[in-house]
Amino acid sequence: METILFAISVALQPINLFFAFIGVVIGTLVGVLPGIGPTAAIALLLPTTFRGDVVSGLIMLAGIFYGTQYGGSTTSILVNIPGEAASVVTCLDGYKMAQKGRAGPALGIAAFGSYIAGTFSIILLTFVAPPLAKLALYFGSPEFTAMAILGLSLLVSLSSGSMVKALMMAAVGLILGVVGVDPARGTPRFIFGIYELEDGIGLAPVAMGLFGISEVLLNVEKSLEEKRETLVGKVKGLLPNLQDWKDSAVAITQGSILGFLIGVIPGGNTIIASIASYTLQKRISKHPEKFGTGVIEGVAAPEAANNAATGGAFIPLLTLGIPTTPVMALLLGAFMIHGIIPGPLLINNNPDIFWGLIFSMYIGNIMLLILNLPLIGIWVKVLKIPYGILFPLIILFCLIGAYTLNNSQVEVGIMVFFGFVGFLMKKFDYEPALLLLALVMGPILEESLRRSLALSGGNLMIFIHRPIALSLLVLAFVSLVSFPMTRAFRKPKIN
Amino acid sequence: MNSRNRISAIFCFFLGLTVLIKGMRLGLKVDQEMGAGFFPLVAGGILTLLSFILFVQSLMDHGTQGHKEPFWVTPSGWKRVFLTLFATAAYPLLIGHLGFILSTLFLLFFFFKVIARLKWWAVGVGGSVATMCAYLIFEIWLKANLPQGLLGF
Amino acid sequence: MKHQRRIQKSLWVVLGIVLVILTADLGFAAEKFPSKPITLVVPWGPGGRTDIVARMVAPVYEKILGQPVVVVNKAGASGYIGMKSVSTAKPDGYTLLIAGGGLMVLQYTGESKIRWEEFKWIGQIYTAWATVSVNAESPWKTIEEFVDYARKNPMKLKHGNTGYGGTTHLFSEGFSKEAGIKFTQISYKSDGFAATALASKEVDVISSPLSAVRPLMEAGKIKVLALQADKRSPQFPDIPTLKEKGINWAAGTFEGFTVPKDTPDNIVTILESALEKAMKDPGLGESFKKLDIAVEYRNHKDFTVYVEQQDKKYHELLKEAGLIK
Repeated sequence: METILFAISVALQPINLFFAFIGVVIGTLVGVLPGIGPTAAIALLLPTTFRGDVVSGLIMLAGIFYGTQYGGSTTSILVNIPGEAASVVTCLDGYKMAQKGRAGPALGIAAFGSYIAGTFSIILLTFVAPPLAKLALYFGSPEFTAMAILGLSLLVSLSSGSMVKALMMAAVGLILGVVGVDPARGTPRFIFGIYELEDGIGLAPVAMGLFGISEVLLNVEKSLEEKRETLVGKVKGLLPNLQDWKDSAVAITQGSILGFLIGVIPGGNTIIASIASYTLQKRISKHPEKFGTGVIEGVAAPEAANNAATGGAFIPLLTLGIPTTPVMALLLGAFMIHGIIPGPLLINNNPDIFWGLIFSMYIGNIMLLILNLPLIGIWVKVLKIPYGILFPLIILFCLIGAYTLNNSQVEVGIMVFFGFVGFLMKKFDYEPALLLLALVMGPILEESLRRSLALSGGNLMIFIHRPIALSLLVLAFVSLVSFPMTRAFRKPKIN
Repeated sequence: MNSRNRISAIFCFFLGLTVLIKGMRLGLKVDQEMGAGFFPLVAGGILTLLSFILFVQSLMDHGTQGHKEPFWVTPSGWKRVFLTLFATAAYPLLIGHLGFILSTLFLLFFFFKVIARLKWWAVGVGGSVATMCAYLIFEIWLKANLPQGLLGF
Repeated sequence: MKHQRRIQKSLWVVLGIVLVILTADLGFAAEKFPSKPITLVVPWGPGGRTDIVARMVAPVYEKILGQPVVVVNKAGASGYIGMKSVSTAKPDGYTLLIAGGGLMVLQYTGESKIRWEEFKWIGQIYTAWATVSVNAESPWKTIEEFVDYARKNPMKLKHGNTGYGGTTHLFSEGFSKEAGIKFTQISYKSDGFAATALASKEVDVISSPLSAVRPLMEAGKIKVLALQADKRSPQFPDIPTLKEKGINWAAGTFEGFTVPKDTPDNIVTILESALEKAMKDPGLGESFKKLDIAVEYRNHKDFTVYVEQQDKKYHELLKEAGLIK
């Protein structure tokens, strides 16, 4: 108990508070700017942590990580551009809410939901870290395969229009996921001689193009001239009202729990967490057909989930030294450069670091909430800027952001290409979200499936023999079947 | 929407078919393991099948047509769209030769003047200010290493 | 009207002045090298071992050279993108690449061709020796027991490599050949994933270096039976090497700084001596130790010879493993 109190005092030291603040500010900025993600930001700032104290450096880096989750939702809601890959799902209902003039409540519930979920996950992290860490080790390739299949079957229920067209988009997403080098043997597929494509089509440029650029193109088509059009007509309210809170309560709760669990699993990341939470919310909702038109639970659920997943992802890292995402790998590097080996010994040997880090996460979350709430007023004002001035800035930031992803013009090209594709898709009435999500799930599925078969020597029975994998597959099957399959055979509706 | 569905269905049909065939060529099995072509085959196959279904659906729906919505919502809107797209696509090509600052200036001037039709002074001020801000944020503050052009900046 | 014109004119003047200042500010190249910032390209994504090493060496290098050394990630195509960007860069000494084992393999397995001769190899920085690591709960307590079992059960043991045709794949194949054993190879995307797979018992053995397995080792999930090295590690003196046990095999991934091959020799010498000083820096040595990487410096001449040897070795390994013709 003394160590915990000591750690609280460590976290509360002015220097560490300062670093936490810097971290969350940078994180928020990075999250808001499309393209640059937490990985790049943390990598850039890693060397500056060498000179200072270990704890301070780690606190700052963790703050960046959290900050990006908060910031990423901002652009998703305001301009339909996921500022950070995991915020894609927030675009679905968030942007629609902004268009209806409810950007304020959307941003607000995103901030609050993120805070509640983040704090919740840190509390869990504090108390149940070691046993949960063991959970991480039960997940192998067959489990990842089953998870990917479950994810894909959940995608089916994300659609809100013609089922056939939704599935077509998922299929296209799977095809796009194939582009690159085959995961097991390295044979190139659909590269067309562009070696930058060997690693596949990146998620970020596609998201920025499909959602952001295409939206700009659509808006540009309408007249910009005399009327000085703004993105949204009237703004109703700056914060969520009582009804909003009531609607979001369940969403935030399930998002926190589900997100946390997914974050703990190796391979589970914030994107999957937000998808899962959103689809779950849609399933249990009394008005599923309204999802995609701007319901506040559609923002609350994924936002809670991705922040909870962030907390969950720390568990395998801190208790076993297993990084489950690229960002965690960076943090692991940061630990090791300072000569600290995360693992069960961390709590014993360096309790001040362990607890200090955790408590600074609490503080970081509070800071982010305090930081983001007043910003809502500012962001809403941004929406009021005449679109003629706003859209070039949006395009510019997307272009720069795409370039900074990997210092490559190819990513920018991909983004522009998909901007055009997204524009066409919207004209032809297809939903881009499913394409993107299938693009994420496809490669995971293929890699895990092939490896599972390699491990079992080609025997599919491996899935039956492993209880976790089997239950996930059953869940996937149930989810597919329970969703009204008859929709697929009904004619597509015209609104 | 029906005619549009037909067009997109045909496009996707051939896309799916191409992927399917390529998948078969890549090989479905490699020493008892799943080959590189398996996934493309399945994904392409699904797309082909679904496109076919969509096409048939659009044929069957001939009677229940709603109002006809034109493809281009605003009469001369398509010009703006393509100009914007062209400028956006030209930017990454230009930036390699002219460098960040000049290309950004040109891009913003183009957008502000041609698409948004602002007055010249607004174009000049807005473009310069935005370029400087972008430079500050990305190059100086985030050390993003933006490309330098022939003129060295 | 006139008022507006005046404003417009003054704005153009301001713009002009700003442009001039920007051009002037960047200066022109002086005679002494280095006189402007140096770019160090890491052909992998951030957070990996190469990236961390680069970011650790850069500040020390910077102090010695007197100019900022900026680390830039250019990942993609197994390193080809970053490597190609430097081999085709201006050979003025301002663009460096950190590369080594990865490039050796890429020469033969990559879709696009790159050769080590396209660079001048300034100096080596480190070697990360491969290990023979197994799950902590597995029945073998020593490397002898392991090899014994493996000999009796060919193809039964699963080895987790970090990419088909990659460094750990080759290392384990070389080890297998010398020891008379055969593994079933399962591919993962990185050392991290392979180590996790070992900890969750999905595979039986991996060859990832100490830096990758250390956390799980400390967590008691992995044990390192042997080092595929020439000599024991100073941090872990209890781990035997394969050579000690009669298996004549050692392998590890190495990395150093390179520049485009047409870089003038006098610039190479400056970079080389700066690197030599940097590698002697005690703080750097400490940081490397914490990462379980051995500082291993070879100067320009020796390193070039070493690289040529390694090139042949890797080529042989690839052919013997049947990965290339």
